[in-house]
Amino acid sequence: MRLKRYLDGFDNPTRRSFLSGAAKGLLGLSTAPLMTSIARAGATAEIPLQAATARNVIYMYMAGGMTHLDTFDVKPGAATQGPTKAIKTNADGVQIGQYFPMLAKQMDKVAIINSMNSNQGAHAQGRYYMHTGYQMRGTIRHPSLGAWLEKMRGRVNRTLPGHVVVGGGGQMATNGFFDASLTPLPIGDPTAGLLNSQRVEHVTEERFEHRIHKLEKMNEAFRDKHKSRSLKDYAKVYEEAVRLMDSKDLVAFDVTKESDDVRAAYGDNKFGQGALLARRLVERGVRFVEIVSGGWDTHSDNFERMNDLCPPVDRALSALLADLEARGMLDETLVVLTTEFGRTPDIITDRANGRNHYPKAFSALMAGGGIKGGQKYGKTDAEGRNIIENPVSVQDFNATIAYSLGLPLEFQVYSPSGRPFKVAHDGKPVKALF
Amino acid sequence: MNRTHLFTAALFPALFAFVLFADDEEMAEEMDGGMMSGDTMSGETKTVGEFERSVLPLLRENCFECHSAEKRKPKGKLRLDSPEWINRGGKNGPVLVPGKPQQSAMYTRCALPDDHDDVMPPSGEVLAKKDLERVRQWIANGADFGAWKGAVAATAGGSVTVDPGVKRTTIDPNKQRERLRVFRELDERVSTPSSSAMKAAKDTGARAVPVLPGGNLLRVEFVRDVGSIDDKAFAKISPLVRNIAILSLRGTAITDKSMTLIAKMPNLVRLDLPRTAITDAGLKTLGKAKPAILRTINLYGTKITDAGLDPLLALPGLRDLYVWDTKVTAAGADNFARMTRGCKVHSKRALPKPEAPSQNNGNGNRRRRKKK
Repeated sequence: MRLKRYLDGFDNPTRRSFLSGAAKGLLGLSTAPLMTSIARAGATAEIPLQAATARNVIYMYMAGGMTHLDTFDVKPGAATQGPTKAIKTNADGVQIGQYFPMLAKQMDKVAIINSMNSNQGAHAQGRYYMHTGYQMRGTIRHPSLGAWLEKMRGRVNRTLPGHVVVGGGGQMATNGFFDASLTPLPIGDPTAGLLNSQRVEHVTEERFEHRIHKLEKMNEAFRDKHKSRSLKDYAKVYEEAVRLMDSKDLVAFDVTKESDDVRAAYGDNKFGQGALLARRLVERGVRFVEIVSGGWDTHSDNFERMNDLCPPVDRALSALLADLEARGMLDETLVVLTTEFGRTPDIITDRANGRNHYPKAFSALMAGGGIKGGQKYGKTDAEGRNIIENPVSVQDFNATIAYSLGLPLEFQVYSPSGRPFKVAHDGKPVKALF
Repeated sequence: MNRTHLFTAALFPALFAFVLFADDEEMAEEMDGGMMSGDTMSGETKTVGEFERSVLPLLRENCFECHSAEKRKPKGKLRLDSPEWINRGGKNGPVLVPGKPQQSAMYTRCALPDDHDDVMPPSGEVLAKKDLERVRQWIANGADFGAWKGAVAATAGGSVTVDPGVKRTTIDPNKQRERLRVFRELDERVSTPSSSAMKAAKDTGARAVPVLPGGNLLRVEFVRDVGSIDDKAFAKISPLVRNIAILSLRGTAITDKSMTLIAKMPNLVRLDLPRTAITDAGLKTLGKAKPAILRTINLYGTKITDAGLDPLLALPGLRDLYVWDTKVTAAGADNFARMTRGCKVHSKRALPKPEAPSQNNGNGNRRRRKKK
């Protein structure tokens, strides 16, 4: 594989983590037989699955802490609103911020949660908590929702990864303490396709198999001598890679196969094309795709930055909802938009009108997958400071996602160290959304 | 004996009696306190309500600023805004020992001289003598909180404590997830598919999973190598005809011929046929069979026309019809929706209009204009 070019496609944190993982893998790698297809050793038989309304999740993550007062919890007339104007939507009684005019035409499909709350006010901790439902600790790495989904429900298409992250870095999706095969596939640039997933030209299929065979023989002695889980994990990484190379569904990763009109409708930027890629992947059986939008940490210049941050998300989400709906996929695909915390109602005037971190109350969106659209759930007070109705904790939020997917909320999975964990920790699903 | 001796002699019994009586009083107090705090059933209401009347206001005014949910990091890791929190104590241990005010830090710290380093509250006015006495009395009487619940303790997961005064709406479980109810009712009428039938399905390349956990209704789809699934391959699914509730043939090579088999499925609720070679003729076959429960048909990307919709009028349960990217016209779609009175026809893909080349590179930064 042309490693350098492959690596260049990643954002920095991903590259670092890939390097550390790959370095371990390339030395003394034990390849379990790659030529035979390995039966998936799944413990999924014992997991008490529940009834589901959603099969897939497209998870849009606003990294940095998306302001709630300027987006989906507008308070027209309040002092804390600042210059943001509220606009009407096609859902009765629902108003959103002026920066989402395209989404306003699709709000009949969307449920807004205005009563999100968290106790984590720092980025790394907040992100981790939102993705895993557990607090960040030094002692263990918890799995994120996508890994839980794959662990409990397996893959639909075995040749494609079960879980993909577009544009994400650290503290985002992770397999946690689960098997390495549940690691999400990171994609740095959605328009670049899956780099280096084709055999190099001069290596024919025959030569490739020959090389793999040789590699196997070389590692046989090592593998037999050292039976450890880490070795099995490294082997799986290679297994996955080869299987992916052979997949006829690789074309799913190629957004250039879409017409220029559609690509332009989603938006000529990383986030928009990432959303388009997500739709393509979900169509082919990838169940969980996360797309990350960065830069929402508007400590200064909050309102000006809204003009830059919101349009790509507005466009991508609107296009995605319309596209999924037309294909009859919205019924079974849960679309989520969330962030780590909100931003202060009080505007910080000595920082060119910014807003600081505010985990006490913030907003998130859910659409599709059985969600009743056109509703607002939960309320904050007149200035957007405190929750006055139907609070939804981060764990409750994740429990709601798990509930739509039919994942058992009480079922405990044990880490290698013997500690029990649940898909959404102690969260209770918000059933009123369905 | 002289007068001094007499006096001293008289004093002793007096002192003794005093001591005795004093003991009795204390004991009586403690017994009293014990009975009161343990006694919730009797009509005795002397101490119930006393907390909320005389002690809670003091806590609110003097203590909650630093020792409640209002403060993100309560001082000394101590919260005083509910019985549970008070009983949990703080960094330095328990702050309340019912019946023993002198061992209860929440009293003793407040009773310190006002120039003492450790006096509580640390700033502003210390508690007035009569307020302090009320707290002491309350603790001595057993520290009964009465009906006061205060702020609910945080869950193990560390979710933020929200004021219990927050309104919570209740839901009607019968109005939830109506879509699943159909499957639940159906599932009871269907028997378990045989293992040979399941094997036959697997051999065709189909993926068959139960719709409901442990149920007999199946969702059948073709995911791998869909281009190779033709009518012949699909026909192998026939042993499962009664069990299939959701069927997806998206992108497969089936033709109208397979509609005969599909029309035989009595429990089919959702049918996905996007990007297949199905035509109006296939829909005619389906319409003739009048599948009673079929609710959703997905035909996007097929070559069907307005004429193909007519036979579908016979389907009593049809709720959602997807016909985007077909030859169905807008008028045809509207007409169908009107005639079925309740079926939603999804014929458009309302993508946002593409704009001029974006000023935005999607990372929240405007593209820098090249300097001339």
